[in-house]
Amino acid sequence: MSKTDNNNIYDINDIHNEEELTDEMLQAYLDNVDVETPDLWERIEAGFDVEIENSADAKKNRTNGNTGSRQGLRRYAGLVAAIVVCAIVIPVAMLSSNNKNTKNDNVAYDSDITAAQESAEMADDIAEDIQQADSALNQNSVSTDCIKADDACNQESLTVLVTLEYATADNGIENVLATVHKVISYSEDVKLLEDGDVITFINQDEFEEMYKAYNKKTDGEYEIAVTDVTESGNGSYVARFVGFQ
Amino acid sequence: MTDEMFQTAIANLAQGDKDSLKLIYQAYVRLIYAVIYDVVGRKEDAEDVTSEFFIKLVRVSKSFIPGSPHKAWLVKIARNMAIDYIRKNRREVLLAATGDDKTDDNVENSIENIGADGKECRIEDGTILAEDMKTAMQCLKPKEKEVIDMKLIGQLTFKEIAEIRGTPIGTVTWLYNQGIRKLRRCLIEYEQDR
Repeated sequence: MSKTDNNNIYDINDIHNEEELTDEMLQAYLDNVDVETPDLWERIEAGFDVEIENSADAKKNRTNGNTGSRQGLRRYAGLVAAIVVCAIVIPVAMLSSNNKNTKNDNVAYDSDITAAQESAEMADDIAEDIQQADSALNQNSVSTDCIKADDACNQESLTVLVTLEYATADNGIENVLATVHKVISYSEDVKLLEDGDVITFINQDEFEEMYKAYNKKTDGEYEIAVTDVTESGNGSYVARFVGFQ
Repeated sequence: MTDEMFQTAIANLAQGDKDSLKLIYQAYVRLIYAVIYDVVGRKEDAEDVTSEFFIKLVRVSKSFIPGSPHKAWLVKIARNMAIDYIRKNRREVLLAATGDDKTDDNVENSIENIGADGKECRIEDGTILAEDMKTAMQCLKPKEKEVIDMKLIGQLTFKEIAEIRGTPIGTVTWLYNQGIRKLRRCLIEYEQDR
C-alpha cells in the first residue's frame, strides 16, 4: 500500500497485493532516474520565450485580418477567375452589341454561347487547380491513422459539433476554446463529451494551420474530429485536434 | 510539490511567469521525462517531447481545474504528447519497438532461468550498485517500466495509472508486481555474478 500525496491515509485503490520494494531499492531506482534525466531547462526557457512571442504575433496577424498565405491564394484564384470571365464576356457582349446591325441575331447568339462555354471551361480549370491545391494541403495535414500494433496508441476519435472562440490569457497568449454542442460520431471506448463541454487543443499549432487553410470563421458551428481526449475537470478537456469534417 | 503549490504555480504560469514554469519543471522533469521515454523509447525523442511538453504547458495551463489531481493531469498530457509523437514518426518508432521486444524476450528468458529463493535477502541487506540497478531496469518491458515509473516517481495511485493508461486496474497492478519481481531477480543475478 502507498500513502496519498495530500494526507496520511492509505489509498484503498492501492490494496492489490502490491510487491514490496525495499527503501534501498527504491532509492537506487530513483537515483538512477535522476542520473538518466537530462537537463533541458535552457531549451525549455528558450522555447518558452519564442512561444510567448509567436502567440503575440499570431494575435496581431488575426487582428489585422491576415489569415495566411493559403487564404490569400484562394482569394487570388477567385479574383483571377472573375477577371477572366469579365474579360471574355464583356468584350463579346459589346462586340455583339456593336455589330448587331451588321450581323444577324443567330451569329451573335452563337458567339455568346461560345464565349460562355470558354469562360466556363476556364473557371472549371481554375476550380480544378484549387481542388488540387486543397488535396496537396490535405496530404500534409494531420494524420488521422494510427499504429494498430502498438497498444500505447489509442485509436480513439470523436467527431463533435462545436463553436470556436479565442480566449486571451493575461499573458497575451490566445487559446482556442471549442465548446461542444453535439456529438456526431465516435469510436468505441472513446471518452464521450457532452453539450457545454469545453476543449482546449494540445496541438493548437496544427489547428491554426488547418483553420487558416480552410478560412474558417470563429462565429460559426463546425464539425471537428478530436482524439486523445483527456478530462481536466468540470467539463474541461484537453484533446488533440485531428481536422475539420 | 503539493496540490496547493502547483495550483499557485500553474495560475502564475498562465500569466506568463517563467519562474513558475521553472518550479514545475524542477519538481516534475524526471517524472515527465520518464513517462515520455517509456512511450517513445529513444533518448533524443524523449528530450524533444519533454521540452515541448513544458513549453506547451503555458497553453494548457488554463484548462487545469484547481483541486483536481495535478500529477495525473500532467502525466496524461505528457503521455498523449508522446503517443502523438509516435504517430507522426511511426516508421522509426516501429523499428525501435521491434528491437526492444527482442531484447525484452531475451532478457525475460534469462530471468526465467533464475530461481526465486532466499537469496533475495542478500539484496535487501546488501548494497545495490547503481550500475546494477541501471542494468536491472533494462530488464523491464516498456509497459512494466511505465507503470513502475508512474508509481515510484510520480507516486500515482494504481487507480490513477489505470485511468491514464486506459487499462483495468488489475492489469496495472499485475504489470507493477511483475516489474518489481523482475527487478529483484535481475539484482540477484548481478549479485551472484560479482
